[in-house]
Amino acid sequence: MTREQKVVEQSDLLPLLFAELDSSKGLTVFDVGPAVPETVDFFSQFKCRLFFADLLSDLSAEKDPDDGKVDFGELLTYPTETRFDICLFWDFLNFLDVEMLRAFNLAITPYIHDETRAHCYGRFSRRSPVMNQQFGIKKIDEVVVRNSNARLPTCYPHGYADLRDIMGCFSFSRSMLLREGRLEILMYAS
Amino acid sequence: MFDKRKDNEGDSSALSVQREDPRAAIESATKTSAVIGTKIQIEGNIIGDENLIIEGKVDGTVEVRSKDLTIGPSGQVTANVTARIVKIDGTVKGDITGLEKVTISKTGKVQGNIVAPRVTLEDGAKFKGSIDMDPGEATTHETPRTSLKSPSKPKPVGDQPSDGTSANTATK
Repeated sequence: MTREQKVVEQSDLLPLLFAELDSSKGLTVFDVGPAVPETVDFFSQFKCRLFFADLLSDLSAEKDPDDGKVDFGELLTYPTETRFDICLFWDFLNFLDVEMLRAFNLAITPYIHDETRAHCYGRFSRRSPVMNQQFGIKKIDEVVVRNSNARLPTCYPHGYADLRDIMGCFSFSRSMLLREGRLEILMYAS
Repeated sequence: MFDKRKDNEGDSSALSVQREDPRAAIESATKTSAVIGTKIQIEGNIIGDENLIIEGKVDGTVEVRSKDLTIGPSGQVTANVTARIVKIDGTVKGDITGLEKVTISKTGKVQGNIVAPRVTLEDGAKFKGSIDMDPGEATTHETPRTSLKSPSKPKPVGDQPSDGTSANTATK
């Protein structure tokens, strides 16, 4: 895949993210990444509210000069009644060290309800590469992957066990090893 | 001369580029729209009942409820905007309400919250904020393209994988 290209990948776990989800009252979706056309188009068939946080750009550009960390409490400031039905973390967790991962878990917890489900990519091992890519949902079982030229912060590839131990607001349900050591993980609110 | 004309007719890529050029589209639209030009800066509230194109700077609110609003490529709007159809080729910082549709083009950059029955992002568009969509408001008979009822949520059957290499199901 060259820099400008995008590819579509089949996902066995993505359909489970939507399983038995009642969309009649509208979906509330949190996407930690930048907005991509496919995700907006996919959810346009539903009554929904999409939150695109693009936290990676904040992580790259707005680090606190004192300690090099970001304040997720400041970045995730949504109306207090907001509860996400679906969280799309994509690759983002691999750009947080353990301390920031704990802070992110703490910041996202108020917006989680009993039926929240989430999707992320971990890494098979800490040596597995983290690519500069953006992700979106093209179909209920298809993920679109774009190479990005956005500036990336330092990466901290996390394996399944690392993420499971730190992301305490979720129970890890299923995982699937993909190419290049990317580990697709499905989670439910714990 | 003949060759030149033939070249032009055969150059479909050039034609398609021209069609996609936001400036060309705006030139055509200016014939039927009010225009805030590139060297105009407005601070305050704009309320109107005709199509509006903003190529300059606007700070305040913009409301053309029954008409179309285009933020041109050089437009810089720091305002809450409301229109029937909103097309953004420039920069908007503020909340956007599109009574029918909001489109952020490949040159568009938006930070704010969008409310509209339908929202379209073109490849390359920059957006940060929330999008409230309700396709039922625009087309009441449309059914979702995707059913969310199948497949079923997995039942808990076992322990977590230690290395994450297999597709296991665990307790929720």
